Amino acid sequence: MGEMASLRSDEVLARRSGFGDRVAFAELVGRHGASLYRYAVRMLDGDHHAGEDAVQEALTKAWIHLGTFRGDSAPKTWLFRLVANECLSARRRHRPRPVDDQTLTEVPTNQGSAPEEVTVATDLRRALDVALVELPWRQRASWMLREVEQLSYAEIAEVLETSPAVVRGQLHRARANLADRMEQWR
Amino acid sequence: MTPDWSSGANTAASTPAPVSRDAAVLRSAAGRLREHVDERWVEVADLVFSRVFTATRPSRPLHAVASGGPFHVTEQVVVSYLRASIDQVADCEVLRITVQTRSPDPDGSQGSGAEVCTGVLVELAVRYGTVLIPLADTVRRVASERIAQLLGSMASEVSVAAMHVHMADVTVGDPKVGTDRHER
Repeated sequence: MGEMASLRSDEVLARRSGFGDRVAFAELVGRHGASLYRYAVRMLDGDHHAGEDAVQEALTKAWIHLGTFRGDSAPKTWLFRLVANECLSARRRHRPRPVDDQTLTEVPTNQGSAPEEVTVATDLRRALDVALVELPWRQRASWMLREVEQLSYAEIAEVLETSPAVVRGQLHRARANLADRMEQWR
Repeated sequence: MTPDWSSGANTAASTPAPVSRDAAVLRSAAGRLREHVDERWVEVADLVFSRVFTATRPSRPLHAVASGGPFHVTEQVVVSYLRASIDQVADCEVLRITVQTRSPDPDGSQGSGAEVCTGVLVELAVRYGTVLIPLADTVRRVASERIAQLLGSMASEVSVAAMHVHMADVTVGDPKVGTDRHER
């Protein structure tokens, strides 16, 4: 059974979760939990505790409502929409936090002596994290969902409850803004 | 040394056009982030699960009778057990289970809000080529036995005639595995 369980589609796992199958729900979240958490933390300006709360709230809602999930969208898209909504609620509850000057001065660069590849990769990711914090919310969400989570424009539109055309525009601006902020990494 | 963003390797690269170089840096950064698993998630995932599973789904209570007296079972519990039992039947996958109910008689346990189960509709996806009539009989028998175990004598209204089995879909492969319709 264990081998078969690993082969099950997201749709089968979501349906079984709807019947109250905890193992199926754990497997479904096991596939996407790390991505959902990564998205939540970046949308909440790197606050891991807030990201954890958002994912937990979203998964709780998913667990409660999976019994009525009809599969109109992919389970992964649906889970991202729940997390996106929780992130939006969390942002509305808390006042926007200004970007810390200290944070900006700590943006890692690749200038100076040649670093090891691992260090470059880690620094590049950290620099991206800092750059993402400076992006407007919808641009950040669109870019994360497209470039990191590799959702289609239609799926992103569904997650963010907008149109694919708007997503396309947000992505265009996000790429330009990020390119500016990551200029020193060229 | 200038990192080669297009390949992700930290090696010297030729000089591409500025725009494509921006795109390459961002693509590389996105790839790094995609590969990265936040340690915090690894630490808290089990705790998140345990909290999530404390949430209960709202569900109607149903009347049941044990040898020691009456009790209530939620519809959610009945559906969950039914699904698990039918899952043991090969070549079919439960798509939906609908529990039909009626209000209890006036002399029943008034005020509890619990209803009496009068029938069950089981919707299935079956593997292409499966002979349907024996499968339907097997599912009906399995479901009836389970209902009797769950509701005791209150299951008497759920007769064979009230146990509907509906073959709603057919799949080429194993319906218990499925394929994601939404995959790109």
